[in-house]
Amino acid sequence: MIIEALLLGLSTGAYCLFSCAPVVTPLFLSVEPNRKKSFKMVSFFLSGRLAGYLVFGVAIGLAGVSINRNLNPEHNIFIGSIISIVTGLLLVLAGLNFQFPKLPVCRILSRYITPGRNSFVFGLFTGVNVCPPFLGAASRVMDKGGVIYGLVFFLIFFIATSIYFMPYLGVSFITKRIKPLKEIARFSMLIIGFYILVFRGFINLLKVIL
Amino acid sequence: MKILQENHTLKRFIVALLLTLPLAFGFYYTIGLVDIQNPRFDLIDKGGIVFHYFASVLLLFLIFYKDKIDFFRKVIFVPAAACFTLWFVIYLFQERGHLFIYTPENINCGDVPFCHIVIPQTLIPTLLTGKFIFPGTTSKWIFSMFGMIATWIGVSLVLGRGFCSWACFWGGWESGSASILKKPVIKRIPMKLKWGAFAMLFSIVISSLVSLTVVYCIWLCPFQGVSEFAQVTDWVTTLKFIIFAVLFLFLVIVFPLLTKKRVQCISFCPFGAFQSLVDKINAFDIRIKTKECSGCKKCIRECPMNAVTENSLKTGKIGIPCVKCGKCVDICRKKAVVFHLKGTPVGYLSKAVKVTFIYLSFFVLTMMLGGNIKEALVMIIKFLSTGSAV
Repeated sequence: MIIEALLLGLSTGAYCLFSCAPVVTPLFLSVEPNRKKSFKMVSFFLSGRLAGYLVFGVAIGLAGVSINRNLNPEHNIFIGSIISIVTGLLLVLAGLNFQFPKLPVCRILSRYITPGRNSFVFGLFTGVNVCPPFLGAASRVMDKGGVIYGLVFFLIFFIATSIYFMPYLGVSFITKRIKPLKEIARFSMLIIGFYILVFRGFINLLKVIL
Repeated sequence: MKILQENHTLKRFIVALLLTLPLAFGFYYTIGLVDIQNPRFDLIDKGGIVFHYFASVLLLFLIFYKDKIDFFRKVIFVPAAACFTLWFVIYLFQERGHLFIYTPENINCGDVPFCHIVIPQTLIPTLLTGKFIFPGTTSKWIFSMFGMIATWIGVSLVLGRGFCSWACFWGGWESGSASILKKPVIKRIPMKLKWGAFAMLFSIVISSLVSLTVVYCIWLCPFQGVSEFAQVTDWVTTLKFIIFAVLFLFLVIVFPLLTKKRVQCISFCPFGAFQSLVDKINAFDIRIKTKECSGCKKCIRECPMNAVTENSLKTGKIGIPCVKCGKCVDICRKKAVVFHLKGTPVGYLSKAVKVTFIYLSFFVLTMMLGGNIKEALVMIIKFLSTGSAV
């Protein structure tokens, strides 16, 4: 099982990185260029992902075969669009917080939205994003069933896919040298957040509902 | 005094005429005057070629004679955008019988005309996957992927980000809107807005890479408001249509009108941001001779791209959004703003550099955008005289 989860993680990790990159890249680039801060953010992000994986691992392990039989593509789209709405909304709010810090809403938000907390939450939601690698791992756990099996499988899967996120530890090296990158990343949070919220979230949700 | 002035005017006239001659000779071949007796041209076509040739030569002469680049550039650049739209719409009707994009037939046969804005969002996915993520046409030279990419490489090498003010067939819409009012209603737009276009570039490149679709074309391109668009069949396509129309109305018409700045180019266009990066390989830029600058700040106020800043007056360097339209060069009373050949001292052979830049940029302008005006006029006259535009 360990080798299977490891191989699955290693083989699909690049895909994981690609599907998380639109959210993660501007998030990491938007903070002050500081090696410690970058390390902290990546750690919080990976902790969020781990938490998401483990919760899902346990849930899928518990429900096992019964979900496997009842789950259809429409459910995947529904779950995916709900996650997209939450992720997009959070990204837009974080972007607004950077662009208009004096707005009353942003003043309130800034108490709750800190780079560390942000990274954890985004890690959580990108972790449980219904992407093909995640579905691959989930279907394997569904077939086998069992809480322990789900937990261990997703833990190994997480370790294997996390290797691909390690380059993000070096973002401060780039942002220190290319100064405007921070400002560009902050604008990008708004654009990508809006894109995920509306086009991948609401529109897909409405397509399923209507 | 009067004789001196007359002599000066005569000298300027002769110099302008001599400077115009080499390109006038070149246009004779490139515009097609040399081939005018060809039997495939009817009378209206011949008239179009003659008009294209003489209008181009006259405008080039006026650039040199009046020493005004931007005004005479806009004489072609602004109408060319409207003419391109008109010509493109007629072209599509002639080819397909409708204006709709993304119909299954078009997608399957790869019949979608290719626009330069597509280039940055397809480049990385193509390099990584080996597949082109845009169903662009390859069979026809006009609007074909290869044709447009070849044109883009050529113009980028020659003009860099100057593409946006000398070759972009959409830019005239904004440039025109920004030229209507004498004074701006909204006097200042935030300088950091220029990073918006780079954020858009970053966002669409990364989103296109993840989804392997041309995200900008499908959801965000303001110019789908005036060209081919998704056929409105359900609420999703209705939403797309509304997005395109709203973006076009506000970013291309209303905001440029109120600010006298090319707001869409500054803050939204991913291709513009991409060209700013490509600009590094181009030989020309615009610089300020700081010692000769009087500090009147007219160039800061008038720059349509917000490229000239307070910092530019100190360092002599113009900001990254500069599209080399030449407006700052024209309006500087002290002649402190000059065209500059990278790698040489500022002001070195500045007149020769300016003339070389005008030759190259005007050639691109008249061949690409002047051609659009000619085509549109020929179509209109054919329609009025024969009842058919084709």
